[in-house]
Amino acid sequence: MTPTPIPDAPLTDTRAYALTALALLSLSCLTLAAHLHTRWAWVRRLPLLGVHVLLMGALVAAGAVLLGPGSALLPVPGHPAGWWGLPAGAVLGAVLGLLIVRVDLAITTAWRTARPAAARPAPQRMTAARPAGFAASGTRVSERRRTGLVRARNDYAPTGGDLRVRLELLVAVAVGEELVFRGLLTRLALLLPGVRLEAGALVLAAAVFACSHVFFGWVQVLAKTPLAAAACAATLLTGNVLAAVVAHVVFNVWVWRYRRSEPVARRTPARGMWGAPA
Amino acid sequence: MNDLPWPLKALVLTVFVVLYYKYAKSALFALCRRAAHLLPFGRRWDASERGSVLELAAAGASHVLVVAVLVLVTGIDLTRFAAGFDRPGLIALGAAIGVGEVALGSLLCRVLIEGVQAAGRRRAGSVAGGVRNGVRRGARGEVRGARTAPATAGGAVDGAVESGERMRQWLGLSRGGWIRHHLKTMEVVSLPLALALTATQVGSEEVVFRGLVLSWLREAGPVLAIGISCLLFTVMQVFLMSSWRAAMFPVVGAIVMGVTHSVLFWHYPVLIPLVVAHVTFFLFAVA
Repeated sequence: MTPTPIPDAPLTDTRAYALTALALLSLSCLTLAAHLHTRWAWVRRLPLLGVHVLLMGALVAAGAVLLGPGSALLPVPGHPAGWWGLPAGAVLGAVLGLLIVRVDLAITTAWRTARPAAARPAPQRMTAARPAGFAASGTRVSERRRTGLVRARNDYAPTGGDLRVRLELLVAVAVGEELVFRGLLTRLALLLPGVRLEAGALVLAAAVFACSHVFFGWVQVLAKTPLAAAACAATLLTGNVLAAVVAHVVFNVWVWRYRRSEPVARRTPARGMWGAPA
Repeated sequence: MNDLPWPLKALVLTVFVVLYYKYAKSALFALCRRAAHLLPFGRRWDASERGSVLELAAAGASHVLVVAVLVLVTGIDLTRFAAGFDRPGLIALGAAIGVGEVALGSLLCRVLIEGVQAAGRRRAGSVAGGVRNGVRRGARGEVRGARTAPATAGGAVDGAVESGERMRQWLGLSRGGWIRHHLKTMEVVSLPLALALTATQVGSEEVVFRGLVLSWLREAGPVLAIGISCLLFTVMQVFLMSSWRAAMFPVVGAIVMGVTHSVLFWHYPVLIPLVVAHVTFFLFAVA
């Protein structure tokens, strides 16, 4: 038998598994919320962003247990700014928020003018009739168990309608995303050995945050990259997530006001008590 | 064979993976499809469903056989990695890792799909622009844009409806290949039996690509050993799929899972939580 040398591990296996699970679930929290929201009817009663906020709350709680109570708020341990980082973060966040609104608007506007809207109608989804209602009841296929992710009917994607929610929920999403992406993931990245690994993990977290907006089009990934980069830089600069939270809240309030200024006829109807009223 | 240098060991493993996962499994599945017409199954299953269940059962059995052969060849004692049955906390964390991997993998797939579609639209736009300017005409003056536009282009149609439709088509494509027998089995047999068949197959993969490959290549160092293990695990997903589009979901999932599981196994050589993570990944993806 071949003897296999096992190197000394810096963490216990349970802690390493827990931190890995926390990192993976934090990186994919919006997609996971969309999966849960798409699959089960009882989850679907909640708005998608509500599921997202609940999931992020659970992750922040798990992070507090694993990494310490203030880990999501103060992700850079021993930062020289100390408590002065909080007022500095609030001011910096307000300035960054206004700046990011301008940059986001410029990117989305430039993309829209470069690619004009299509003129052709959408293709028909099917050309042959298939049994429905009473005719379909009792047939073998409809009695079979349904399968999830790779089922063609299920694209696990949030839609534009899922974003038309009340301002309170949009603010909660902004706070939660910053606590997870800039708080927990920054703290986890700084646990890695070596500056290169730390920098790579920070870039990965910012890139995944931008990519999590891909459900609303490729342009939204580009448009959210400045927000991700600026929030990450502000967190490292001030040692806390207040700047990132304030900037994201300012941005989401602007999005809410922008959506409200659209003509009523173009809006999708509000859904449930958390849907934005017309 | 334990005295071989690690490059030769890597070569042996590569040849083995290609021979078994591409050719031997292809022949095995062909045999199963033929047997599906001959064996006396109940009539409530059609030939495709019978074939899929047989394929998954045969794949699980042959995987177990392959594990036994590899243990004999490499001389690695697998019982060392079997600890973890008595640690429910670690098993639950393995399940959480599986859920995180499938969510991250599906996000990355979505990014790739949107990227490919955006590139297709850009190519189609340039083709259409060329046609409008009168430069993309053939020798006899016919317009060539309709045949030269890529399949992902969507012609002049743009917008969320078209994008959603193409996304659904792509997801439909990804139900083919070897994923079909997991889906069909999950649909037609009882849940415990489907779970057992799936767990046997994916658990064997975990044993091969983490337990055996990483242990055998440990002398190559972490970067090379993990790289080779992930590469073989990813390449294996492409075999028996109909196209690169259909193979994209398993390939992206294999990259996420391969890197995560390999790094964890390198530092903590325990297989049970990783098998649980792999099974959870599969159940979350297909169930």
